[in-house]
Amino acid sequence: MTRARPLLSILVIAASAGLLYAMRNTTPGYQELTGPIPETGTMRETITTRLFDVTVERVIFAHALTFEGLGRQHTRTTSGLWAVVTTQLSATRKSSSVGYAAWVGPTGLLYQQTGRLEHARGVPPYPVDPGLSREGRFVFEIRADQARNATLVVSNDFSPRLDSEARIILDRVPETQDGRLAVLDVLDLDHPQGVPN
Amino acid sequence: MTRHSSLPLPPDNAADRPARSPWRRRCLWLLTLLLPLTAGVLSYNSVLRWLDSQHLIARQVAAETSAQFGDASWQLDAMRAVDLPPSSGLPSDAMAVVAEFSVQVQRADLPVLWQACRIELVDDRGRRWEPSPILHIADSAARDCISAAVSGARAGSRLQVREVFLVPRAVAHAVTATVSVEAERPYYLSFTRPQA
Repeated sequence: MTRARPLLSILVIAASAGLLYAMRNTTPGYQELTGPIPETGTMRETITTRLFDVTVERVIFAHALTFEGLGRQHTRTTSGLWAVVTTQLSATRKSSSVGYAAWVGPTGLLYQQTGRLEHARGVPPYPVDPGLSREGRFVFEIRADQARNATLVVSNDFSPRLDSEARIILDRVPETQDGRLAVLDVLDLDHPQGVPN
Repeated sequence: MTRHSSLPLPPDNAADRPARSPWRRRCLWLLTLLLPLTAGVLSYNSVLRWLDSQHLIARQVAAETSAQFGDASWQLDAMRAVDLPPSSGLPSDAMAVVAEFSVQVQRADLPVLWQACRIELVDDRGRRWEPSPILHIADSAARDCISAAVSGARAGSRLQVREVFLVPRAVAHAVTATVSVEAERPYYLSFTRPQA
């Protein structure tokens, strides 16, 4: 018994050290602990966050965008794709605004909303009121291989802390009859005519 | 014969044990006071800031009467629900609600007294509508609350304060108006709708 006691102590210390090491490596960091609280769903499904409800209606891909601003027509081309997501937004309990969205591709690449639509009409942030649904459009410039199996992240502001954000799996992207991605040559943002998702 | 029987145990005499200090127990009891007290002191400023940002306790104001608030006398003159033009692009199930107040100013430092002035509409389910940033009614006399606060109004003057809201048609005739300013929070005024 007396001889076994030092061995037992060593075992207890080793087990404690192992346990502490495991705890240290599995404890979430401060940023993660105080980060956004995800509310997940799919297209055509209403996702309810603390301050707003969001439903993704459709996604349209295009090689170029046109829009009117400051009295003249603007065109924006890209070497990738334009992804235009149309949503319905409303506030849950009190008036608010929805201003942030990101496109997260299948490999984890994250695209913020484009900053190339200066002077376009109907850009975020969108004021929302309880009981009133309104359209909210989010535009991203993405790589073509990030179009399928993507997730749309929507929140009131950039990187909410300890507040909910919507994460919507974009499971109904537009396709041609042979299963390829349907991409418009030019999309007029003022009069969008997309391919049904 | 066991090992213990050959080594007699010392007698268990309580009088031989060192006496515990009475302060040990007192300190433990004191912790029950000190811990909540410390939490209170540390969170005092945060709680005050939170209370300043919330309106929690309503002061009811009967129709066509005025109430003292933020060193001014507030009266709700009218609340009108207005149809929106069909070509406005706004939801077809929405109406504009215009709330008009007359305010008798009693002290001139409104930018301080009415800081973070908030006028809202509330329905019976507790949903709250803030003034719409989309709707504007051109009128030189009436201003929104923040503009009125920084208008340089003098003591004794009377201000017309007007806010416009976008609310669902179903509750447009049932919502009530509330007013809160930072100097008075957590109190706020809740106005009974005047007769149309």
